[in-house]
Amino acid sequence: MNESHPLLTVADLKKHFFIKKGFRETQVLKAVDGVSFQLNPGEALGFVGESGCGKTTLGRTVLRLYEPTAGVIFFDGKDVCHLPREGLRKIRARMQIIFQDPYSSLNPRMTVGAMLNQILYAHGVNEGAERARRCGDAMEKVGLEQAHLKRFPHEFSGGQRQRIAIARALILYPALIVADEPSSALDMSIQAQILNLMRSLQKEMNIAYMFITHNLSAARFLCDRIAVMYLGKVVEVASRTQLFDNPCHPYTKALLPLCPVPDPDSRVEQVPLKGEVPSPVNPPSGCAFHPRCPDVMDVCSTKAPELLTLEPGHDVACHLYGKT
Amino acid sequence: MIFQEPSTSMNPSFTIGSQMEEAIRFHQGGGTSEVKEKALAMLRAVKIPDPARILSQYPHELSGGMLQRVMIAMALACEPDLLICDEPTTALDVSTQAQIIDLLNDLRREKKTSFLFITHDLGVLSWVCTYAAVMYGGNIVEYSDIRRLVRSPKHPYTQALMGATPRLDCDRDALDSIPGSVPNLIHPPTGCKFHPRCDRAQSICEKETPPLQEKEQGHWAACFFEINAEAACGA
Repeated sequence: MNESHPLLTVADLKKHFFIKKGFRETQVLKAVDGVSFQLNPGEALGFVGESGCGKTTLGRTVLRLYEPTAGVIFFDGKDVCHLPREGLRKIRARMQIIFQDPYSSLNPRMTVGAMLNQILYAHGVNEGAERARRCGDAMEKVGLEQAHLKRFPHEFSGGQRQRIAIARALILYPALIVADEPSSALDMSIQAQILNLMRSLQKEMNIAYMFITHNLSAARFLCDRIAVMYLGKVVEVASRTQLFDNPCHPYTKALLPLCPVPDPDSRVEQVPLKGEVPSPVNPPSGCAFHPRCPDVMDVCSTKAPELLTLEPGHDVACHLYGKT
Repeated sequence: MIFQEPSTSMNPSFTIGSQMEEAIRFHQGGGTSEVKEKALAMLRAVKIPDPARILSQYPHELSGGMLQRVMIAMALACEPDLLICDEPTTALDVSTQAQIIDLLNDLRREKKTSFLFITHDLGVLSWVCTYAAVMYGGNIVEYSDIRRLVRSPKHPYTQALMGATPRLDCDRDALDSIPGSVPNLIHPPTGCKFHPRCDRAQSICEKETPPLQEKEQGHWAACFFEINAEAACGA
């Protein structure tokens, strides 16, 4: 992989939502608060965390479906944040998204073929024969048949719908797909099919994924690198092996043993993580994790830790690994 | 009974207290203060911090994990011998899920309540249950204690399910997916309902329904064939 030319570079990205409360008061919800990362072509980077940690907002902001509050996004050498409309449209052909719920992300009144054709038409593929060829091609890639193009979304099962959503994302030959919990609304056996499909497409077409999930097991299966998020910040980024063999941030350490493994002897008796994720409207001072952290120190409540590199490819934001 | 989604199974226009007290009054009777005392005690039993305040709050003011605790408290208020939990943790985050699992396990030990636990998550299942039955197309296809079920499943469907689960404890190159999808139960397949998706299917599977047989002491499976595969981790 070419380290010098990452496909996507995100630096200090922030997305704040302003909530009106009462007459004059406005509260700031810092959904994404200073996230930086790089993604190489063909790489799968997983974002994991509990609900409300800003994973989905991050994915959408990267595609500029939400206007970022601050920070820069470079995709393929272009500054996504300051592209004019037409430029943005061109670049979006190469960055696509798969949504969480395949039941609500497909238009129920359009056939699959019409849906796919519309995308091609919007992106300037004007020749009918070429459009038909690419539709058939995309359907084949996701394991559906040409005949399915004439059907409506309600005629498909959840797994097939998610395949259609993937076909829709693939049809413009993107370099990046943001996959927002693509398998969490599906049954176990179907989830396996979708994850396998995403993995083979990644190899075949050299697609980079931003894989957003709360399912650590699925992230372990699909991703090369994994970023753990907590309250809008990335607290640890590492390669898959580094993260699972040597988790460093106390949050990651606490989170890993909580994921149920089908083995009755693997259960932890005492849950180390008490309480719930605090509200991003009023995040705790200093390190956002300090009220729940087992290794909390004095400095944690006053100063937010920076992301430090522990070893190549393994960054962690915690005072435990400070300059002492 | 504990339902799948705590946020939709409470009435949003009554306080937690009035909903809990209604259930207690209906089943056990008692004066106002007595019922209230009981509701408080139940909330304490499920380890809710500051139970007195929770009683006067509405469901929307609580998080999913808290609501699920309230649901459990309500279900336990009448001291049932059997508690049916329908995917009680599916809508929750992993950390909350682990807390609820812990709570259910404590209750089982302390109050000797029996649980009928309905879930699709083999991981949660093996952390909560002593025995497990695997269902497919309306029938139980395998029944055993949980240890043997996940370590050496005897039905091809259970094996396929285990193979399709992404695991945290090992790396996998590919998940074994089960081809096709769950059969339509209005026109179920003949014979063994799993045969169209089974890689061991033979002609007999198409014609006859396999009975649930005791393959080993206490380990039942509905399959014509003897299957002895260790569900080993890929790593």
